[in-house]
Amino acid sequence: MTSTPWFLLLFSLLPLSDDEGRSRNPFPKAIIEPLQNHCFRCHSGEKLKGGLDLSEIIESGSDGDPADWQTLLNVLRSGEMPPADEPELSPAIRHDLVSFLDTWNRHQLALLPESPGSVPPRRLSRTELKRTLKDLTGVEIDVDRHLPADASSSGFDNQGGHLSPGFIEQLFRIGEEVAHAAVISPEDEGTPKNIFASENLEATGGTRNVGDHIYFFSRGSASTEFPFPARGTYRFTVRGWGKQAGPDPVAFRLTVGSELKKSLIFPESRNEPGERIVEFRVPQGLRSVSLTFSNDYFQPDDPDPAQRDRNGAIQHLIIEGPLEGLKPTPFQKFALKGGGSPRQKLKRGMARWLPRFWRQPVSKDRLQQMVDLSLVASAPDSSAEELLRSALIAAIVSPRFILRTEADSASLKSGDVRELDNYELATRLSYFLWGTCPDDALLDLAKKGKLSQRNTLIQITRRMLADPRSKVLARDFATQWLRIRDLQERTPDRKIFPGFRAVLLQDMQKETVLFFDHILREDRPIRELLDADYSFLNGRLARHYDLPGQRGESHQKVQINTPRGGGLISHGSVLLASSTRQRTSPVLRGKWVLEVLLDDAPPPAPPGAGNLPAPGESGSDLSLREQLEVHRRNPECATCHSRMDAIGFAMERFDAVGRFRAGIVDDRGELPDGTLIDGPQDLRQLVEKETGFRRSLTTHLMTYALGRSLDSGDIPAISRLSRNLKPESTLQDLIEAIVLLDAFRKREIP
Amino acid sequence: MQKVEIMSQNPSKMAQRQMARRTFLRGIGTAVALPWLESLLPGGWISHTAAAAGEIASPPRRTAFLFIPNGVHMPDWSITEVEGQRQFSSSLKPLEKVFEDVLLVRGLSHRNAKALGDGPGDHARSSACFLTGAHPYKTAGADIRSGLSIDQVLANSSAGETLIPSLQLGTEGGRQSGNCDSGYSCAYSSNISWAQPDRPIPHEIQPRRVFERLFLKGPAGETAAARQIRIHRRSSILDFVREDAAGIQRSLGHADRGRFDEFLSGIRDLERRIDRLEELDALEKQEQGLTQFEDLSPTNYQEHVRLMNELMLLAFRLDLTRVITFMWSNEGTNRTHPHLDIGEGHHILTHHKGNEEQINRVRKINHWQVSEFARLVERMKEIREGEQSLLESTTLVFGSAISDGNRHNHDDLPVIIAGQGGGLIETGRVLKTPNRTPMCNLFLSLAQAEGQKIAQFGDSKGVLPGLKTGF
Repeated sequence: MTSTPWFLLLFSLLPLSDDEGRSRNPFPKAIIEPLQNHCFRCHSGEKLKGGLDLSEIIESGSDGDPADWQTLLNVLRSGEMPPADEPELSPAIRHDLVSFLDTWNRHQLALLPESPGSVPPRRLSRTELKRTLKDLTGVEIDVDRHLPADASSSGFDNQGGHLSPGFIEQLFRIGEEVAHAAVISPEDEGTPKNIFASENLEATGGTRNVGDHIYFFSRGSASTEFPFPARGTYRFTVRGWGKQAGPDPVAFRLTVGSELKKSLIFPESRNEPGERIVEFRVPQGLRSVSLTFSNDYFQPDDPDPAQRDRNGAIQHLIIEGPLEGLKPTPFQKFALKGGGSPRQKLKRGMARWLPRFWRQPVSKDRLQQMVDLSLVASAPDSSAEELLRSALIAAIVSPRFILRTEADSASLKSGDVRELDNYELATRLSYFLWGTCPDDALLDLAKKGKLSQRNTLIQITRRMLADPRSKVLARDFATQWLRIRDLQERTPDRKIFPGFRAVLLQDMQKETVLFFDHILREDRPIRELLDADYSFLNGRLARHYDLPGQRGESHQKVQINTPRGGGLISHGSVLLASSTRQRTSPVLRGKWVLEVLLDDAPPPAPPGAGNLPAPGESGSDLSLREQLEVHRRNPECATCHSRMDAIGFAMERFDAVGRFRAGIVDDRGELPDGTLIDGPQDLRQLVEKETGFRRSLTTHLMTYALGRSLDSGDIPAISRLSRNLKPESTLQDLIEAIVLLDAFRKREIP
Repeated sequence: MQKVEIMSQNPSKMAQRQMARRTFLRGIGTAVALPWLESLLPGGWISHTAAAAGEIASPPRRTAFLFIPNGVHMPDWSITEVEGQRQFSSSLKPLEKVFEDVLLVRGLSHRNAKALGDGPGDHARSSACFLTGAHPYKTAGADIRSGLSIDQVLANSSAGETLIPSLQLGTEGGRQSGNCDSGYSCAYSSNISWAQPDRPIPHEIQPRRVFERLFLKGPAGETAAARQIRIHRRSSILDFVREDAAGIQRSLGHADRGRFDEFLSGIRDLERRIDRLEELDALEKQEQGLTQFEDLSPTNYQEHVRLMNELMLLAFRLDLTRVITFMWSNEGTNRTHPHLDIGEGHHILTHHKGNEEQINRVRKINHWQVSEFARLVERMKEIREGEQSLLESTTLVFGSAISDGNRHNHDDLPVIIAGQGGGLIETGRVLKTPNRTPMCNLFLSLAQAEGQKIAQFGDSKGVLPGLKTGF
């Protein structure tokens, strides 16, 4: 039996209702018959397995429950139905049914009414929290050290996950760290000196912590975490000695954070320990300080027993600084400006800073409560600085800070729709466009009610996009959309790519971030995401790509006129993220293009689908193309793979680490409908023409903007926005359209 | 002989390093005085009067659920008897030396981990079903729904008696992008504890943070005076924030209250512990060497699992909690096992299509998992509580809700029980239940033993007979 192309089936679906507007059964025979033949025996009439009545579902047509239709699609797509002990459904018919139902479902969903939906209270993500605290207090805190990683849902980490059981305590730790770094108490001023005796250092590796020193009998380290109170010069004094052996004296490496390093030589012996002093400029914040015994030496065969084993010892570490002295921070100067009693100073300042922390006006009563609390929470007769610390911690631990809550008035009932107030909208805007809290200017506009007016909302959006803070859209949105956020962890296999340096992963990610930011900031057409003839490279990356001319450590805009091209498809970050560590994978690349660029996720591989043979296994002597051909002979696999593989093959011009392959490369792929994709240039044009590309960009950006997964109520908006996008439209156009959506400005009472 | 002597005088540096590490890992729990001899735990299991009279009440029941991902290679998962001799398949070989404390259960199933019309997604479904017995709702959005998990039912029994109601441990965070498995939310594959059907409890993966949570520790090097100020501040602020949060919550619609429930329960948790800070301090003081845990970060996966196991022991031994879940990895994990010299991802390996080499690597991973479990059983047995060992009052349930990783079936799950659960379980046997016996029957037995008057849990069809022989 030959199969009918699905679009012909769809054609017969168009007249959905008869003259009186009643829906009537729109299903062609080619769909009904196989269902009757293969499914009705168990799923209609008397016998209703799984409670599923197919005849009723088909009868009800477009009036039916979309969930039933989805179930039907799922079981057919996954091959779960018909069960193994029933006559088999031919792959061609299954394919037709699946295509038809998929289209039918999309069509049905598009008819559902648009609704703004609602975003439940959600906590700031780790990156949002870090930036928010920095903007509010000027202090940078290693939030990642305190909070567990954000769970990502719908592809983004800003969707507000659950609070872990230890969350409140973690939040206190963050608040306490901020309070001590942002507020310098009079008794703290000057240069603090911290002495770490050996027993206060953590010793790991080949070490023994013995009373007054740590003994290193092999490679090991002694370390501590130190909260550097402010940016400045710090002096590190290390006292130690060595049991010398071999040609070199004992050496330790002092490391502060991950970048500051210095080798310390200890030619001294136990009887006369030595002291080495190093000074580093260190930024504010918590950093590890470690001493590693770096030149262990062991020659058990040496005729002189004294020369066999080199060991080291550390007695203490002193950290002094900042040598410039600890001074009141800008935040505290601002928060405690003017005269009066500590209490008066606190209250006056708090009236200014608390509304910024809580992103809303604070009533007189509440302000007073916070002042009272700060007094109760601090020791009697505390200085204004101590009171301010208490107040800061309370402000940060408050749900008004850490949770973004859009509270509805009690008079509204479930299903009602309300407009967000100006402060709620300001918060949504600033976390969408800046990834941080609203600043004073934005809160001021909210106070004046400017955000409810369409025109001013657009103006404000444009202004916010022009602000450098909008760079987070490239850093946070683009890297998650393009799935290159964790690129650092995807080091290619050293055996196969021996010359590949890990620093290239950073270079590649930066290329894409700068590229996206450029297209956003310069208001370039979105098609340039695909077909730009430029990119952003530094010397190292240009050499890796084998492009001439570019030099130096920093990335610059570079014209690319070679066949490599400049759009996303030729970015090393993308090419690497869609390869395995050993080789290119046309399947992964095809899947990446479908999911990320075309909003057309292929269904997951059925269980037992398996992988291509590993090197050395049977079948591994075939070329990749041949192996995939074998795989596609299985009709079950062919349905999806014929598309994925064709797209992936067109990217074969690039190797697994993103280099352009010169010479003869078979980079043609043939789509199921016979369209030939001849290399990356063809692929770019194909993607650009697809509505899927614009839908994908819209869907992903909406998900990120709203901070929630999209549902059927969003489908009309998605269709409208992606339809309105032209190849010459820009990201700014799309962002404006999103900001104007009901889903962004309004809220449905849950 | 000469060789041995040389070795003992001059152990290689590598051996010394391993020694130092091992000494550290074992330092806790065996060498120090046992805390429960002191009557320091008014809320713990030693009653004041009994302690004063020098008597010890019977130790409380503890339960831990240990989850391993991706199923196992089932053909290599058996203990048989040949001519009166027990034969362990290679994956289960590590159980041999602890077998008298082990009950291998065969035939348990999780029907609700099957597709039941929802298509692919066996991995996500299995972890969501593992302790709930529920069929998770297929969604990648926020509207997740599974069921109340058995550990939380047990935790409700000991609520208020320990400082921490239950502890959730893991080794992998939730960093995966997109939905985790075929349209299922990552919440399903990265959690096994569910406080409510729509609320999973995330696990902690940093040993250091677990330690800080157990003992309410401040920043390293904090002075006593500074700590006092900090704790005073915290308790005043907690008061204030609790009232404020409760006020906001009252103004919210029902659907929006969940996050505030979590917030408020976190506040109460911390308040309770601050109230009992002195006990906690006294406990910690006795535990020499505990401070070593503070900045410890594991350097590889094996060490990570072992450290978490040690923290689990510590929390049980000090009776800080009685219920723990530990995901050795998130479900569907594709992590490598460099310490076993296995560079391929775990998930990919389990889909081996019959390839011998791949199967061998899966078996090697299973063998390692079982030996870490056996090691934990040994460690628990070493810890004495009066006349008996910690293991006797504990039930360890180790397993996966996928049976064979290559087939994705959910019947005849790999489940190993260890410990006697305070007289509930008779070990040293293989318990064969009819295939497709609900795993939830076991859970119902555990809940009833804990005094919960429930007649059903998940899809249970009664309790599991045969936990004790002669049933």
